[in-house]
Amino acid sequence: MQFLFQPLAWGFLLVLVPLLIHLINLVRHRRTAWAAMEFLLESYRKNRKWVWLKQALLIASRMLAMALMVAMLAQWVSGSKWLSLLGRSTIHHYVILDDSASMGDTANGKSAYQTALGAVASIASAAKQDSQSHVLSLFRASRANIAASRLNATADESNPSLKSTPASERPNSAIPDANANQPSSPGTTGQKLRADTIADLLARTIPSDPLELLTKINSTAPTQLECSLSDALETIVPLVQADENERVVVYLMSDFRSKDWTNMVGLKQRLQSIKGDRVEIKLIDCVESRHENLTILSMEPRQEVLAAGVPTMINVTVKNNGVTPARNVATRITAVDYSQRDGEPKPTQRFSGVTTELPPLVFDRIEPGESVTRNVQVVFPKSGSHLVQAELPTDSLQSDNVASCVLDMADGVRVLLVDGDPGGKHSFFFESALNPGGIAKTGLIISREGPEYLRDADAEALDNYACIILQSIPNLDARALSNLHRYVSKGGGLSLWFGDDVSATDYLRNYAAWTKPIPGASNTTPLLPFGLKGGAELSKAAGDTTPDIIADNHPIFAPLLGMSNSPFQFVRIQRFVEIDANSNAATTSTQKSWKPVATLRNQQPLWVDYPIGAGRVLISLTSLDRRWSNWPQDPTFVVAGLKMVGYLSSFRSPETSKFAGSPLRWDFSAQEMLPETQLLFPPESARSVRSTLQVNATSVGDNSIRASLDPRDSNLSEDVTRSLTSSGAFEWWGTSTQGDTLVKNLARNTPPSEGELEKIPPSELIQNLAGIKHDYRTASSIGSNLISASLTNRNMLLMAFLVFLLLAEQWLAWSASYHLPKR
Amino acid sequence: MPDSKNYLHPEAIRRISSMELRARNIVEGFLSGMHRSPYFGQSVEFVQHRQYVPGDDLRHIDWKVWGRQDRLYIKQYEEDTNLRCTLLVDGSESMNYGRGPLNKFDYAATLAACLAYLTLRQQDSVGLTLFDQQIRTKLPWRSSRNHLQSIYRALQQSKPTNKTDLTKVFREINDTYPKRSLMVLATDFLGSEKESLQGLASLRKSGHDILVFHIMDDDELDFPFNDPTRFEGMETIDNLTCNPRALREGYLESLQRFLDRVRRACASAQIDYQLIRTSRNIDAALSAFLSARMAHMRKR
Repeated sequence: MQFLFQPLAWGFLLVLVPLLIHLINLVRHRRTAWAAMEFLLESYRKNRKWVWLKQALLIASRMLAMALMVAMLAQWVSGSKWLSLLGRSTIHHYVILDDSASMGDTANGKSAYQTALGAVASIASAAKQDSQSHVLSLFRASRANIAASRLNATADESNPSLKSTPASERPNSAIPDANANQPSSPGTTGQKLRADTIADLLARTIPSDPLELLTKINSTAPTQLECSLSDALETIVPLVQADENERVVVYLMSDFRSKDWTNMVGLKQRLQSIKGDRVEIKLIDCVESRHENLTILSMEPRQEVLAAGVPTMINVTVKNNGVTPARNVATRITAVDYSQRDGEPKPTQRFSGVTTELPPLVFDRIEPGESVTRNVQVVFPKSGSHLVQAELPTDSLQSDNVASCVLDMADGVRVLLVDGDPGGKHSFFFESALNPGGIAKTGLIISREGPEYLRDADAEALDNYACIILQSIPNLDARALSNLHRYVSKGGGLSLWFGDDVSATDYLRNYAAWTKPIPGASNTTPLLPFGLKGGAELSKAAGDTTPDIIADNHPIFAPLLGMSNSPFQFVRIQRFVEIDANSNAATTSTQKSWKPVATLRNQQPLWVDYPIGAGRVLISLTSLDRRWSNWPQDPTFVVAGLKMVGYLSSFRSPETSKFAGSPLRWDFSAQEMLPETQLLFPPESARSVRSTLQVNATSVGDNSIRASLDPRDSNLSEDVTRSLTSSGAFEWWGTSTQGDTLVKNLARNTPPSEGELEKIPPSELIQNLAGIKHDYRTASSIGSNLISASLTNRNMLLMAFLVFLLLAEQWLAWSASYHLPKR
Repeated sequence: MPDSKNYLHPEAIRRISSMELRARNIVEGFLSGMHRSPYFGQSVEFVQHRQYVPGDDLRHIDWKVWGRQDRLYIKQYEEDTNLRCTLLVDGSESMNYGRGPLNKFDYAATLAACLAYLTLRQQDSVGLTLFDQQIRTKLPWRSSRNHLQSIYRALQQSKPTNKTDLTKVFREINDTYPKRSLMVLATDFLGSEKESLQGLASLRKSGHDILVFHIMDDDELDFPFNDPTRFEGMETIDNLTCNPRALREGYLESLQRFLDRVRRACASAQIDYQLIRTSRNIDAALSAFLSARMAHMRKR
């Protein structure tokens, strides 16, 4: 016989109380002389047997009632076999543990995840004390998310329609599906999630010491991922539905944030599929209340030229996810330089590079729910894969306080100027502005070629340039157009300028091919989104003070905007190329994709930003020639020119950061590097030495080899998977064929949405879960009695028996004349 | 309750230790509440006139006075009496029970004293017999006032002991009291019910008029015990430890049967029977006595 509250079992000694009271009453009887003894004796002789029997039954009923009450209070869980027959003999506890980054929310030294683990231990202990058959299954949400992501990746490969957007073209796409709370699409998950590969514990019986079972899970910590419980729920659906004789209790242990539980169509759909009479759904809230929290929303360099020795501005955006304003938030900025020649992996140090503490970035005031952006300037004198890290002061959630970005600095950024004039007269202004010489260092390496270069050069040769500027190009053949299209589609930046070398007839004839899909290209997007009518004069009425250029809010003009007067006040545009927005080339999709970033006084577009694939085309509908405009003589030309190159070159820049859990990949040439590489994982708080992993690159082409690690890879060990889903700086070390060590840094940050700690009100949660019977409670309000609800039927049985017994006791007491009749 | 009645309550009686005072207070108090004097009857010796009050017998109106004065007066004569009244008081140990102001013996003794006072006040003769399993005290009939003191003393000095054996007592009375008289028996009939009733019947056959006061305590009639109690027999060696509430119903049934038997036996033998609770006023007993006396006088 076992009880949930074992100490209360001593209460069974109370069953002796009625007997003791009876005996004491017999001993403590009073004595009285009695004259009418014969009648008393006669009554005694007549009723002796009944009186004795009723007395015995009365005492027995009282003792039994006492025992039942004690059993109910102590939560008698020792069901004999006949009791087990009344209820279901097996109870399967499915615990779905939210191990997303927000579960690291810590209060009083205990994180929400630790609270959840404590609740799991309580469940196991309570189940162990019950003699019914209990089995426990435990799923971490992150493992289910990773498995689901793996299935989706498989579906991508098997479904060509999903391959249009390669993984490499999804910046910051971490493992968890952002739409995980949406109903799953059968097309994307044709296969089912397998519980045996996901579960931490699957249908495990509880050993004598439940903690033995939980040793492994207790050593885990919340991930840095954004996780959804939907995939784990989807995993258990077939398990729950498989055995109809099994009683099921599903525990969802989470922190119940508004962002996760407000729009929960998919989650609700899965809960609907498992609900039933034999299924109990328990929502265990592991966080008592919302805590103050600051989150680094983003940390990324401005879209500028990233070159050694050139100052780089890093934008750091911090959001206040608390309920009170944050004041004087000092953000620690650390720059790590990896340019030293004798660099080598240093697992015992936080970073292997040379660390420099920059002056802290101070945010004076951040209102609740608001985000503020500040920028910090860093300069790395030498090329290399450098790192900048920002760290907020400690608050309740630590994982969103640190963000990193990688700056892969080259010695210079190569810019190709293609001039229609063999003498290069159109390139003069750009050459002057982008490489002024002297002490001014722009980090740009300017090359000038004729239009034939685009035709004759290998397509891969264009990839060496971060930006290509075409000026006054009269005509390009199909190969040149194809090379340009390929270049832009792969992330290159193309700037197109017109000029005197192209007549109005040329516009219609020569640029017609630009407005059509390029044969053999990877996508059908044309190089020009609209047709051209030809050159036009921009008339100016006398007394009209409107500037010729009206700039929109665009990174190119970012330094120039915000002033009271137009920066282009003295810029005069005489001629421009008029577009034909209604031409055949202006399909619906292309019409939507381009947008003017600056317009003329007559509302005609002057500069147009137009995406093709991963790259951008910036179309200037005028020329730098003095007959077209005087802009090159204006100081704003230098600023906008440099910004334009920085903007266009940013689309080919390597990733600066991604969300935690994103695959790690390093492509390099087999002729330059050896395939053996070593990966240093970010430091862990519990370990003084960083974990390392040897990774051998594999060939992916003639000369290219690739080292890659994907957390979704099922062949990886759990430790490696856990390390791959952590946030921080991953240092990937390799050796060149010359024997030098090379390093490539990869930054993985916690999704900032995990910092949104606003909790969903219970009333709203109940409303969202309308139609689904569930039990919502906080983890702190439960202990070993968590399982008590599972034993309701048994306790109800005891209660019914107790009520019956008390009624019988009253009848017996009345029958034994223990109740005096009314006089 | 009228003031005169206060003297009849057992609680008030208990406060008077002297049996003589008790009897006088009770009887005088009892009589003061009666409209019609029980002492005056038809005789030859005129005593006085009294103004008519409603309820007086019309036969006693002095019509001559009415004719002269136009007022109604009643003629009163001193009653001619030679009543012999024998007071039989049970002095067995069972009469010693009582948790109220008076135990059964005290109640019976007080009742006997009152009856003796009442009888002697009327110039009748009264005798007293105290008994248990045998006659313990026997006072002959006397009509003198001095005799009253003897009765008081005998009653006051007697303590209830021994068992009851009315068979032997009644046989002796029957033998020694051959002259027909009014016998007033105060007993609880406990211990020898059957023999007692048989003895009473034989006394009745001998020509005695018998008035039985069945003295019972409230506890015996109601059995109000709740707590576990050890009952020790007063006239028997039996003991019983029990929960009284469990036996109450059976006890009361058994007692009721006993009372019915006694009442039925008395009725069949034409014996006046009165069940008296020791908590009740004593006037009920006195009224019963006077009724019995009147009936006895009429038969003579």
